[in-house]
Amino acid sequence: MTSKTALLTIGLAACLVVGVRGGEPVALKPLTWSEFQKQLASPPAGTKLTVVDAWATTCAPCKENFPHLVEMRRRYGSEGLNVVSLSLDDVEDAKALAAAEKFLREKRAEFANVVLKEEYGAGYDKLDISAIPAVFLFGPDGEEVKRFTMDDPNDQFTYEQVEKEVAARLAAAK
Amino acid sequence: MRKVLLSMAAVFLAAPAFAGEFNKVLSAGDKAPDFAGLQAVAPNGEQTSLTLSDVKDDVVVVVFLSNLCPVVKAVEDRLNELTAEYKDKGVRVIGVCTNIQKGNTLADVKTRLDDPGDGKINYVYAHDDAGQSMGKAYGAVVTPSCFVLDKDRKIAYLGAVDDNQMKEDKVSKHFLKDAIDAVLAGKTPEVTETRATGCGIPYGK
Repeated sequence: MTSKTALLTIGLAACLVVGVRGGEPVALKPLTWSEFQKQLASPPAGTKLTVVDAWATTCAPCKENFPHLVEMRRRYGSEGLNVVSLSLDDVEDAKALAAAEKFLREKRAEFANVVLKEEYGAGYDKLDISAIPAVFLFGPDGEEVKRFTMDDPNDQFTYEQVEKEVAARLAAAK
Repeated sequence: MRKVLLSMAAVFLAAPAFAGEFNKVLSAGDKAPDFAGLQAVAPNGEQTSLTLSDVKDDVVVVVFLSNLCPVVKAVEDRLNELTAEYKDKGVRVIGVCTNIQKGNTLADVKTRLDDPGDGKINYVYAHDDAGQSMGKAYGAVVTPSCFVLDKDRKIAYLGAVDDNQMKEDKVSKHFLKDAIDAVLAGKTPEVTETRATGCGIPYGK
Protein backbone atom coordinates (compact mmCIF):
# COMPACT_ATOMS: atom_id res chain seq x y z
CA MET A 1 0.00 0.00 0.00
CA THR A 2 2.80 2.29 0.97
CA SER A 3 4.67 1.57 -2.26
CA LYS A 4 1.49 2.15 -4.28
CA THR A 5 1.02 5.52 -2.59
CA ALA A 6 4.67 6.33 -3.23
CA LEU A 7 4.31 5.45 -6.91
CA LEU A 8 1.17 7.55 -7.19
CA THR A 9 2.93 10.45 -5.53
CA ILE A 10 5.92 10.14 -7.84
CA GLY A 11 3.61 9.93 -10.86
CA LEU A 12 1.67 12.99 -9.75
CA ALA A 13 4.87 14.91 -9.07
CA ALA A 14 6.16 13.99 -12.54
CA CYS A 15 2.94 15.31 -14.08
CA LEU A 16 3.30 18.54 -12.13
CA VAL A 17 6.87 19.03 -13.25
CA VAL A 18 6.38 18.12 -16.89
CA GLY A 19 2.85 19.50 -17.21
CA VAL A 20 1.57 17.15 -19.84
CA ARG A 21 -1.01 17.84 -22.49
CA GLY A 22 -1.58 14.93 -24.78
CA GLY A 23 1.77 13.55 -23.66
CA GLU A 24 3.67 16.70 -24.66
CA PRO A 25 5.68 18.66 -22.09
CA VAL A 26 4.81 22.28 -21.36
CA ALA A 27 7.11 24.22 -23.64
CA LEU A 28 7.46 27.61 -25.28
CA LYS A 29 6.96 27.66 -29.01
CA PRO A 30 8.75 30.51 -30.79
CA LEU A 31 6.52 32.04 -33.47
CA THR A 32 6.85 35.16 -35.58
CA TRP A 33 3.94 37.58 -35.46
CA SER A 34 2.76 36.30 -38.83
CA GLU A 35 2.99 32.67 -37.70
CA PHE A 36 1.17 33.53 -34.51
CA GLN A 37 -1.68 35.14 -36.43
CA LYS A 38 -1.93 32.07 -38.66
CA GLN A 39 -2.09 29.86 -35.57
CA LEU A 40 -4.93 31.99 -34.20
CA ALA A 41 -6.80 31.59 -37.47
CA SER A 42 -6.44 27.79 -37.31
CA PRO A 43 -7.30 26.93 -33.72
CA PRO A 44 -7.88 23.36 -32.49
CA ALA A 45 -11.13 21.73 -33.61
CA GLY A 46 -14.13 22.77 -31.53
CA THR A 47 -12.70 26.18 -30.64
CA LYS A 48 -15.38 28.82 -30.20
CA LEU A 49 -13.16 31.44 -28.65
CA THR A 50 -9.43 31.92 -28.13
CA VAL A 51 -8.05 33.82 -25.17
CA VAL A 52 -4.49 35.13 -25.46
CA ASP A 53 -2.64 36.36 -22.39
CA ALA A 54 0.41 38.52 -23.12
CA TRP A 55 2.97 38.25 -20.34
CA ALA A 56 6.70 38.20 -19.56
CA THR A 57 8.92 36.85 -16.82
CA THR A 58 9.87 40.43 -15.92
CA CYS A 59 6.22 41.33 -15.26
CA ALA A 60 5.19 40.66 -11.68
CA PRO A 61 1.46 41.41 -12.15
CA CYS A 62 1.46 39.02 -15.13
CA LYS A 63 2.84 36.17 -13.07
CA GLU A 64 0.58 37.00 -10.16
CA ASN A 65 -2.49 36.78 -12.40
CA PHE A 66 -1.39 33.83 -14.54
CA PRO A 67 -3.39 31.32 -12.47
CA HIS A 68 -6.56 32.99 -13.78
CA LEU A 69 -5.62 31.76 -17.24
CA VAL A 70 -5.05 28.22 -15.99
CA GLU A 71 -8.36 28.34 -14.19
CA MET A 72 -10.18 29.58 -17.31
CA ARG A 73 -8.75 26.65 -19.26
CA ARG A 74 -9.96 24.25 -16.57
CA ARG A 75 -13.38 25.79 -16.39
CA TYR A 76 -14.11 26.57 -20.03
CA GLY A 77 -11.75 24.37 -22.04
CA SER A 78 -14.45 21.75 -22.61
CA GLU A 79 -16.86 24.48 -23.75
CA GLY A 80 -14.65 25.54 -26.64
CA LEU A 81 -12.21 27.97 -25.04
CA ASN A 82 -8.75 27.76 -26.58
CA VAL A 83 -6.16 29.20 -24.20
CA VAL A 84 -2.85 30.66 -25.39
CA SER A 85 -0.09 32.36 -23.44
CA LEU A 86 2.08 34.78 -25.39
CA SER A 87 5.44 35.59 -23.84
CA LEU A 88 7.00 38.91 -24.78
CA ASP A 89 10.33 37.87 -23.26
CA ASP A 90 13.44 38.31 -25.37
CA VAL A 91 13.48 35.27 -27.66
CA GLU A 92 17.27 35.53 -27.85
CA ASP A 93 17.67 35.46 -24.08
CA ALA A 94 18.14 31.79 -23.16
CA LYS A 95 17.98 32.56 -19.43
CA ALA A 96 14.64 34.35 -19.77
CA LEU A 97 13.21 31.54 -21.88
CA ALA A 98 14.34 28.92 -19.36
CA ALA A 99 12.74 30.96 -16.56
CA ALA A 100 9.55 31.29 -18.61
CA GLU A 101 9.33 27.55 -19.24
CA LYS A 102 10.01 26.81 -15.58
CA PHE A 103 7.22 29.18 -14.59
CA LEU A 104 4.81 27.67 -17.11
CA ARG A 105 5.55 24.17 -15.83
CA GLU A 106 5.06 25.26 -12.23
CA LYS A 107 1.73 26.83 -13.11
CA ARG A 108 0.69 23.78 -15.15
CA ALA A 109 0.11 25.86 -18.25
CA GLU A 110 -1.18 22.90 -20.20
CA PHE A 111 -2.09 24.83 -23.33
CA ALA A 112 -0.34 26.56 -26.20
CA ASN A 113 2.56 28.65 -24.90
CA VAL A 114 4.11 30.94 -27.46
CA VAL A 115 7.10 33.26 -27.30
CA LEU A 116 7.14 35.96 -29.91
CA LYS A 117 10.04 35.47 -32.35
CA GLU A 118 10.48 39.13 -33.16
CA GLU A 119 12.94 41.81 -32.15
CA TYR A 120 12.73 42.30 -28.39
CA GLY A 121 10.06 44.87 -27.59
CA ALA A 122 8.34 44.61 -30.99
CA GLY A 123 5.49 42.66 -29.43
CA TYR A 124 4.11 45.82 -27.84
CA ASP A 125 3.81 47.50 -31.23
CA LYS A 126 2.43 44.36 -32.88
CA LEU A 127 -0.25 44.07 -30.21
CA ASP A 128 -0.64 47.86 -29.99
CA ILE A 129 -0.27 47.95 -26.21
CA SER A 130 2.00 49.75 -23.76
CA ALA A 131 1.77 47.48 -20.75
CA ILE A 132 1.32 43.86 -19.83
CA PRO A 133 -0.53 41.86 -18.73
CA ALA A 134 -2.94 42.28 -21.59
CA VAL A 135 -5.61 39.83 -22.67
CA PHE A 136 -7.15 39.41 -26.10
CA LEU A 137 -10.13 37.43 -27.29
CA PHE A 138 -10.15 36.06 -30.83
CA GLY A 139 -12.89 34.38 -32.79
CA PRO A 140 -12.24 30.99 -34.43
CA ASP A 141 -11.34 32.89 -37.61
CA GLY A 142 -8.44 34.60 -35.83
CA GLU A 143 -10.15 38.01 -35.73
CA GLU A 144 -9.76 39.95 -32.51
CA VAL A 145 -13.14 40.48 -30.86
CA LYS A 146 -12.17 42.08 -27.56
CA ARG A 147 -9.11 43.32 -25.69
CA PHE A 148 -8.37 44.02 -22.05
CA THR A 149 -5.39 46.25 -21.28
CA MET A 150 -3.68 48.23 -18.55
CA ASP A 151 -3.08 51.14 -20.93
CA ASP A 152 -5.63 53.55 -19.50
CA PRO A 153 -4.83 54.32 -15.85
CA ASN A 154 -8.49 55.16 -15.33
CA ASP A 155 -9.80 51.97 -16.88
CA GLN A 156 -7.50 49.01 -16.24
CA PHE A 157 -8.94 45.55 -16.67
CA THR A 158 -9.34 42.78 -14.15
CA TYR A 159 -9.30 39.05 -14.84
CA GLU A 160 -12.79 38.86 -13.39
CA GLN A 161 -13.92 41.04 -16.30
CA VAL A 162 -12.14 38.72 -18.73
CA GLU A 163 -13.74 35.63 -17.28
CA LYS A 164 -17.18 37.24 -17.33
CA GLU A 165 -16.74 38.14 -20.99
CA VAL A 166 -15.45 34.66 -21.85
CA ALA A 167 -18.40 33.00 -20.11
CA ALA A 168 -20.90 35.29 -21.86
CA ARG A 169 -19.37 34.74 -25.30
CA LEU A 170 -19.20 30.97 -24.87
CA ALA A 171 -22.80 30.89 -23.67
CA ALA A 172 -23.87 32.94 -26.69
CA ALA A 173 -22.01 30.58 -29.02
CA LYS A 174 -23.91 27.50 -27.79
CA MET B 1 -2.26 66.12 12.21
CA ARG B 2 0.60 67.93 10.57
CA LYS B 3 1.47 64.75 8.71
CA VAL B 4 -2.11 64.38 7.54
CA LEU B 5 -2.14 67.95 6.31
CA LEU B 6 1.17 67.43 4.56
CA SER B 7 -0.04 64.34 2.78
CA MET B 8 -3.25 66.13 1.86
CA ALA B 9 -1.12 68.89 0.42
CA ALA B 10 -0.01 66.59 -2.37
CA VAL B 11 -2.51 67.94 -4.81
CA PHE B 12 -2.64 67.33 -8.52
CA LEU B 13 -4.67 69.82 -10.42
CA ALA B 14 -6.35 68.41 -13.47
CA ALA B 15 -5.84 70.59 -16.51
CA PRO B 16 -7.74 70.00 -19.73
CA ALA B 17 -5.85 67.25 -21.50
CA PHE B 18 -6.24 64.98 -24.48
CA ALA B 19 -4.99 61.52 -25.17
CA GLY B 20 -1.85 61.21 -27.22
CA GLU B 21 -1.01 58.55 -29.76
CA PHE B 22 -0.01 56.16 -26.99
CA ASN B 23 -0.69 57.95 -23.74
CA LYS B 24 -4.41 57.75 -22.94
CA VAL B 25 -4.45 60.93 -20.87
CA LEU B 26 -1.91 63.43 -22.17
CA SER B 27 -0.36 64.44 -25.43
CA ALA B 28 2.53 66.67 -26.44
CA GLY B 29 1.64 70.32 -26.05
CA ASP B 30 -0.63 69.75 -23.05
CA LYS B 31 -0.02 71.69 -19.89
CA ALA B 32 1.75 69.33 -17.50
CA PRO B 33 -0.41 68.30 -14.54
CA ASP B 34 0.66 70.29 -11.53
CA PHE B 35 1.97 68.70 -8.39
CA ALA B 36 2.53 70.11 -4.94
CA GLY B 37 3.83 68.75 -1.68
CA LEU B 38 5.08 65.58 -3.30
CA GLN B 39 7.10 63.65 -0.72
CA ALA B 40 10.58 62.94 -2.04
CA VAL B 41 14.07 61.89 -1.12
CA ALA B 42 17.10 63.84 -2.29
CA PRO B 43 20.19 61.98 -3.56
CA ASN B 44 21.85 62.61 -0.18
CA GLY B 45 19.02 60.76 1.54
CA GLU B 46 17.31 63.82 2.99
CA GLN B 47 13.55 63.84 2.87
CA THR B 48 12.05 66.74 1.00
CA SER B 49 8.90 67.73 -0.81
CA LEU B 50 8.43 68.84 -4.37
CA THR B 51 6.14 71.42 -5.88
CA LEU B 52 6.30 71.95 -9.61
CA SER B 53 5.89 75.71 -9.39
CA ASP B 54 8.94 75.86 -7.09
CA VAL B 55 11.19 74.31 -9.71
CA LYS B 56 12.90 77.13 -11.55
CA ASP B 57 14.91 75.13 -14.07
CA ASP B 58 14.13 75.66 -17.76
CA VAL B 59 13.38 72.02 -18.32
CA VAL B 60 11.83 69.47 -15.99
CA VAL B 61 12.11 65.79 -16.75
CA VAL B 62 9.58 63.68 -14.87
CA VAL B 63 10.32 59.96 -15.04
CA PHE B 64 7.97 57.44 -13.49
CA LEU B 65 10.03 54.66 -11.94
CA SER B 66 9.62 51.69 -9.66
CA ASN B 67 12.08 49.98 -7.40
CA LEU B 68 11.78 46.43 -8.67
CA CYS B 69 11.31 46.78 -12.41
CA PRO B 70 14.09 45.25 -14.54
CA VAL B 71 13.51 47.81 -17.29
CA VAL B 72 14.00 50.65 -14.80
CA LYS B 73 17.18 49.01 -13.57
CA ALA B 74 18.36 48.68 -17.16
CA VAL B 75 17.98 52.43 -17.81
CA GLU B 76 19.21 53.57 -14.41
CA ASP B 77 22.75 54.32 -15.58
CA ARG B 78 21.40 56.26 -18.54
CA LEU B 79 19.22 58.40 -16.26
CA ASN B 80 22.15 59.10 -13.97
CA GLU B 81 24.37 60.07 -16.88
CA LEU B 82 21.65 62.28 -18.26
CA THR B 83 21.12 63.95 -14.87
CA ALA B 84 24.84 64.60 -14.48
CA GLU B 85 25.22 65.86 -18.03
CA TYR B 86 22.33 68.33 -17.85
CA LYS B 87 22.22 69.44 -14.22
CA ASP B 88 24.17 72.63 -14.96
CA LYS B 89 22.21 73.31 -18.12
CA GLY B 90 18.91 74.12 -16.48
CA VAL B 91 17.45 70.63 -16.49
CA ARG B 92 15.90 69.09 -13.39
CA VAL B 93 15.28 65.36 -13.35
CA ILE B 94 12.58 64.12 -10.99
CA GLY B 95 12.00 60.41 -10.50
CA VAL B 96 8.53 59.48 -9.28
CA CYS B 97 7.40 56.15 -7.96
CA THR B 98 3.64 55.89 -8.33
CA ASN B 99 3.51 52.18 -7.56
CA ILE B 100 2.11 51.28 -4.19
CA GLN B 101 2.85 47.57 -4.17
CA LYS B 102 5.32 45.95 -1.80
CA GLY B 103 8.81 47.37 -2.19
CA ASN B 104 7.60 50.62 -3.70
CA THR B 105 6.58 52.79 -0.74
CA LEU B 106 8.22 56.09 0.18
CA ALA B 107 10.09 54.21 2.92
CA ASP B 108 11.43 51.82 0.27
CA VAL B 109 12.47 54.74 -1.89
CA LYS B 110 14.29 56.25 1.10
CA THR B 111 15.91 52.95 2.03
CA ARG B 112 17.21 52.65 -1.48
CA LEU B 113 18.68 56.15 -1.52
CA ASP B 114 20.09 55.73 1.99
CA ASP B 115 21.96 52.62 0.97
CA PRO B 116 25.63 53.63 0.78
CA GLY B 117 26.22 50.67 -1.53
CA ASP B 118 23.69 52.02 -4.01
CA GLY B 119 25.19 55.28 -5.14
CA LYS B 120 23.47 55.01 -8.44
CA ILE B 121 20.70 57.54 -8.15
CA ASN B 122 21.71 61.17 -8.51
CA TYR B 123 18.29 62.72 -9.00
CA VAL B 124 15.53 63.47 -6.52
CA TYR B 125 13.19 60.51 -6.18
CA ALA B 126 9.60 61.15 -5.11
CA HIS B 127 6.73 58.95 -4.13
CA ASP B 128 3.22 59.57 -5.39
CA ASP B 129 1.57 58.77 -2.12
CA ALA B 130 -1.70 60.63 -2.77
CA GLY B 131 -3.68 57.72 -4.15
CA GLN B 132 -1.46 57.39 -7.23
CA SER B 133 -3.06 60.60 -8.46
CA MET B 134 0.07 61.95 -10.12
CA GLY B 135 0.59 58.77 -12.12
CA LYS B 136 -3.04 58.86 -13.24
CA ALA B 137 -2.87 62.56 -14.10
CA TYR B 138 0.17 61.91 -16.30
CA GLY B 139 -1.35 58.77 -17.82
CA ALA B 140 1.71 56.77 -16.82
CA VAL B 141 0.97 53.06 -17.17
CA VAL B 142 4.49 51.64 -17.28
CA THR B 143 7.85 52.26 -15.73
CA PRO B 144 9.91 53.92 -17.03
CA SER B 145 7.69 56.64 -18.51
CA CYS B 146 9.32 59.97 -19.34
CA PHE B 147 7.85 63.44 -19.64
CA VAL B 148 9.86 66.47 -20.73
CA LEU B 149 8.35 69.74 -19.56
CA ASP B 150 9.41 72.98 -21.19
CA LYS B 151 9.79 76.39 -19.56
CA ASP B 152 6.02 76.98 -19.76
CA ARG B 153 5.57 73.54 -18.21
CA LYS B 154 3.97 72.20 -21.32
CA ILE B 155 4.77 68.66 -22.32
CA ALA B 156 7.35 68.67 -25.06
CA TYR B 157 7.95 64.92 -25.12
CA LEU B 158 6.40 61.86 -23.54
CA GLY B 159 7.38 58.25 -23.86
CA ALA B 160 10.40 55.98 -23.62
CA VAL B 161 13.99 56.79 -22.69
CA ASP B 162 15.23 55.49 -26.04
CA ASP B 163 14.52 52.79 -28.59
CA ASN B 164 16.08 49.93 -26.67
CA GLN B 165 15.67 50.34 -22.96
CA MET B 166 16.81 46.82 -22.08
CA LYS B 167 19.97 46.76 -24.21
CA GLU B 168 21.88 50.00 -24.19
CA ASP B 169 24.39 48.79 -26.76
CA LYS B 170 21.56 48.45 -29.29
CA VAL B 171 20.17 51.95 -28.82
CA SER B 172 20.00 53.96 -32.02
CA LYS B 173 17.47 56.64 -31.09
CA HIS B 174 17.88 58.67 -27.91
CA PHE B 175 14.35 60.05 -27.66
CA LEU B 176 14.59 61.58 -24.19
CA LYS B 177 18.01 63.15 -24.65
CA ASP B 178 17.11 64.48 -28.11
CA ALA B 179 13.92 66.01 -26.75
CA ILE B 180 15.81 67.76 -23.94
CA ASP B 181 18.37 69.10 -26.41
CA ALA B 182 15.59 70.41 -28.64
CA VAL B 183 13.76 72.15 -25.80
CA LEU B 184 17.00 73.71 -24.53
CA ALA B 185 17.57 75.02 -28.05
CA GLY B 186 14.07 76.50 -28.07
CA LYS B 187 12.81 74.00 -30.63
CA THR B 188 10.06 71.42 -30.75
CA PRO B 189 11.51 67.91 -30.51
CA GLU B 190 11.51 65.98 -33.77
CA VAL B 191 9.81 63.10 -31.94
CA THR B 192 7.26 64.30 -29.41
CA GLU B 193 5.73 60.97 -28.37
CA THR B 194 6.83 57.35 -28.33
CA ARG B 195 5.32 54.26 -26.81
CA ALA B 196 6.59 53.88 -23.27
CA THR B 197 7.04 50.20 -22.54
CA GLY B 198 8.27 48.43 -19.45
CA CYS B 199 6.67 47.21 -16.27
CA GLY B 200 2.96 47.87 -15.97
CA ILE B 201 1.73 50.18 -13.21
CA PRO B 202 -1.37 48.71 -11.61
CA TYR B 203 -3.79 51.34 -10.33
CA GLY B 204 -6.19 50.61 -7.54
CA LYS B 205 -9.85 50.84 -8.43
